[in-house]
Amino acid sequence: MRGQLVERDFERPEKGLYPGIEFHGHWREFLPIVATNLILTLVTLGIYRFWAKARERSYLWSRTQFIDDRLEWTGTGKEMFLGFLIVLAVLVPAGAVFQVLVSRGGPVIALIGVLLIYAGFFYLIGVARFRALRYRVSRTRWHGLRGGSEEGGWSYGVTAIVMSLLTGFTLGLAYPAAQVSLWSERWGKMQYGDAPVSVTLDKTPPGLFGRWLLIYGAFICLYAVLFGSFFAGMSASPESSESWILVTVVLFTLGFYFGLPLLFVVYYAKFMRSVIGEMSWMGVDLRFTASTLDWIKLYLGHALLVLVTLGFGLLFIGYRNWAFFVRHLEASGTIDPDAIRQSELRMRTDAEGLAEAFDIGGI
Amino acid sequence: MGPSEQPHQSLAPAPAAEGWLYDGLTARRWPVRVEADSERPDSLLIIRPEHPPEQVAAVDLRQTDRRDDAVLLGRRDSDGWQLGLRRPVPPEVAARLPAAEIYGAWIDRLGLPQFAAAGVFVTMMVLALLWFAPTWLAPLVPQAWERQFGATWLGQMEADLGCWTGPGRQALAKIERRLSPEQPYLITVVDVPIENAAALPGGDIVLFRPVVENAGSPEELAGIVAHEMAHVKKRHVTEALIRHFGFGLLLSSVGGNAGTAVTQMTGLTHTRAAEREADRAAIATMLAADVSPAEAADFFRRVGGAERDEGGDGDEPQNPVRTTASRFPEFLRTHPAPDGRVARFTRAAEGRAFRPLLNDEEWAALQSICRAPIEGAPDDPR
Repeated sequence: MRGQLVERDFERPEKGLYPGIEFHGHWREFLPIVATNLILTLVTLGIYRFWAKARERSYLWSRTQFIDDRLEWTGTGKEMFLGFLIVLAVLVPAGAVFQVLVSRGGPVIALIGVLLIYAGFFYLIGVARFRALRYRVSRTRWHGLRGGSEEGGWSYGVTAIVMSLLTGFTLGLAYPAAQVSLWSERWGKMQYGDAPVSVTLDKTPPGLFGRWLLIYGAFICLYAVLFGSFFAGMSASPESSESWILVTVVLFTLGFYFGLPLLFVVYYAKFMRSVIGEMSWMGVDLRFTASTLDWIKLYLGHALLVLVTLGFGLLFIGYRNWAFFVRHLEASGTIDPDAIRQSELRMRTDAEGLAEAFDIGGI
Repeated sequence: MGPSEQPHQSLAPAPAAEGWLYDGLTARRWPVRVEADSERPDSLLIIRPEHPPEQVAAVDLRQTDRRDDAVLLGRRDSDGWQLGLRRPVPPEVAARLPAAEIYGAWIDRLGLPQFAAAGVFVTMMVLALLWFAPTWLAPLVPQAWERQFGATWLGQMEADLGCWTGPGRQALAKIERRLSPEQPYLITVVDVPIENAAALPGGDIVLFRPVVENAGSPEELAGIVAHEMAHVKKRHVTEALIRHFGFGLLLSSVGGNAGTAVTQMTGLTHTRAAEREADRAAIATMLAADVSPAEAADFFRRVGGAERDEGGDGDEPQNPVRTTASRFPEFLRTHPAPDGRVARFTRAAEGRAFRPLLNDEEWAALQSICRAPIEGAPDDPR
C-alpha cells in the first residue's frame, strides 16, 4: 500500500510513492528507555510512571512514519500526573461522602447506593475510554497537525451503557454489533487537523457474526459436555466414574482456558481488520492486515519473552504491541498537505486521568 | 580585513543548516535554511520561501527528538510548530540548540544517579513514616468511632452464632474479672469452627469455639484472653486498621502493585512488633492476677505446630485484620528465633506458685458453652 503527496511541495526527497505506514523502531533503542523508567518508577514510589509512559510513547511515535514523515508525541508526564490527581481529587471525596451516606442509611439506601455506584462506574468507564482516545489523538502530531474531538465523551458513555445492556439482553448475541457501533461512534467523533476521521461502518461487517457464533457455540458445547459427562458419570460404576470426572475436568479446563481464548482471537482478528478497514482520513484509506495467526504469534511471543527474561520482558509488551499494530497497518491514497489546516479545537489539559481512575478533568 | 570590506558585506555565508518546517497552521512542509547569524548569538534565523526571514530566540526552542538523520525542535509558544534540521548540523548552529530533554526537567537538571539517590532517600523516609504513623495515630482515634466500627463487625455474627449458656458465661466472666478487675471487657464466644481469637476495634474480644474447646486448662484460655486484652489496651487493632485502610489505600492508588507490596510488608512487620508487645503485656497481666502463664504456651505450641511448626512469632493466632500476613510467602514469615514465644510464657512461670482460676465444674461449663442448648435471651452477667 502506498501513499502519495500532491506535488505542491517545494521539495520532495525522492520521486515515487511513499510506503503508507512504516515502523523504524528497534528494541535496542527502547531498552535504555524502559530500564531507566523502571528504576525511576521504583525510586519515586510509582509516581514517575506518568513520565515513563510519556517517554515510551514519545519513542514509539517518533519511530512511526505516516506517508512522508514521522509522528510526534507531545503529551507530557506532568499533564498525565495532574490529570490523575484531578480525578483522584474528585472521586475520592465523592466516594467517601457516598460511603458515609450508605452507612448511615438503612439497607434500602445501601442497596440503591451500591446500584448507583455500579451504574456510575460503568458509565465512567465508557467516558474514560472516549477521553483516552481523544487525548491520544490530540497529542499526536503529524506535519504539525493535532487532532481531537469536540465532544467530551458524555454521550458516548450513555451509548456504551446501552450497548452493554443490549448485549446482556440478547445473551451476548449482539456483542459484535455493539462493539462495531461503539468503535464507529468513538472514532467517528474524532477529527485530525480540520478534517474529520471518517468511519463507514453502518452495519456489522460480513463474517464477523459467524466468528462470534463460533465462540458462542463452543461455550454451549463445553457446558453440554460437562453436564452430559457428569450425568453419565453418575450412572456409571464408582471406579469408572472417577476417571470420567478426571477426563471431563481436564477437557473442560483445556477448552475453557485455551479453546475459548483461541476462538476469541479468531473473532478479534476479524473485528480489527473489519473496523480499521472502514476508516479513512482526507482521502487516505486505512487497512489492517493482521491475521489470526499473526495475533497468536504475537501473544505466544509475549509469553515466551516474559518467561525467558524472567519477567523483565513485561516492559516490552507495549513496544511489541505498538510495533505489531503499525507493521500491520497500511494506508493508501493521495493527500494534499496544503489543503489541511490546523484543528480549531482548543488543547484540553485533562490528559488521561483515565486509566487509573476515570477522566473527569474536562468538567 | 581591508578598509573597503564592511562586515555585513562579507561574501562568506553565515553557517547554516538545511531542514524543514511545519508552522502549525497547515500541514505543508516548508523547506528551510537555518542560519546562525554571528550578530545575534542567542537566536536562529529561519529562511523559508514566500516568507520574510524569521528570528527565533534559542530560549523559546526545545529539542524534541534526535534521530540518526535529523534533530527535531519544537517551540514553547507555538503548538504544532516543528523544525527539523538534517544532520550533520554545522557546529555553529548546533551550539545554539537547546539540550534534549531526557527523563524530565527536574531529573535532567539534577542528573539521573543523583535523582535516583534522592529518590531512594525519600522513599525510605516515606516508608519509615508509613511504618510509625499508625502507631502514633491510633491513640488519637476517638474510642466511640472504634466501638461503632467493631459493633457493626460483630453485630450479626454475635446474634446468629453467639454462645450464651449461662454457667459458661459466668465462668468466662470470672476469668475476665480476674485478669482485669478494673476495666470490663465484653468477651463473646462464637460458634465458628476456626481455632482463633480476635480483638475487635472498640475493645470487644471474640473467641471462636475451638479455642475454648481445645484449651487444656482455664489458664491456657486465660493466656489467650490476656493477649487479646493487650491488643485492645495498646490500640493495635486501630493501628492495623489505619495501616490497612488509610495508607494502604493511598499507596496502592499511587503506586500500583509496588504500593500493595509495601503495604503488606509494613503490615506484616507491625504485626510481629505488636504481637510481641501483646505477649509481654499478657504475661504481666497474668502475673499480676496470680494466674500461671505457663499453660498459655501450650496454645502457641499447638497452633504453631499446626502451622508447619514454625514456632517463634510465626504462630500468629489472632486479629482478623491481619489476613495479609498469613498469605505472605513462608520464607518471609519464618522467624529466626523458634519457640521464642513458647519460651517467653514458660519462663515467666518458672519458680512461682499460682492461684487456680476456675474449679472443674466451672471449666466444664465454659468448655461446653456452645454445645448446650441456647437458653432464650442472652445471659450477660454484667
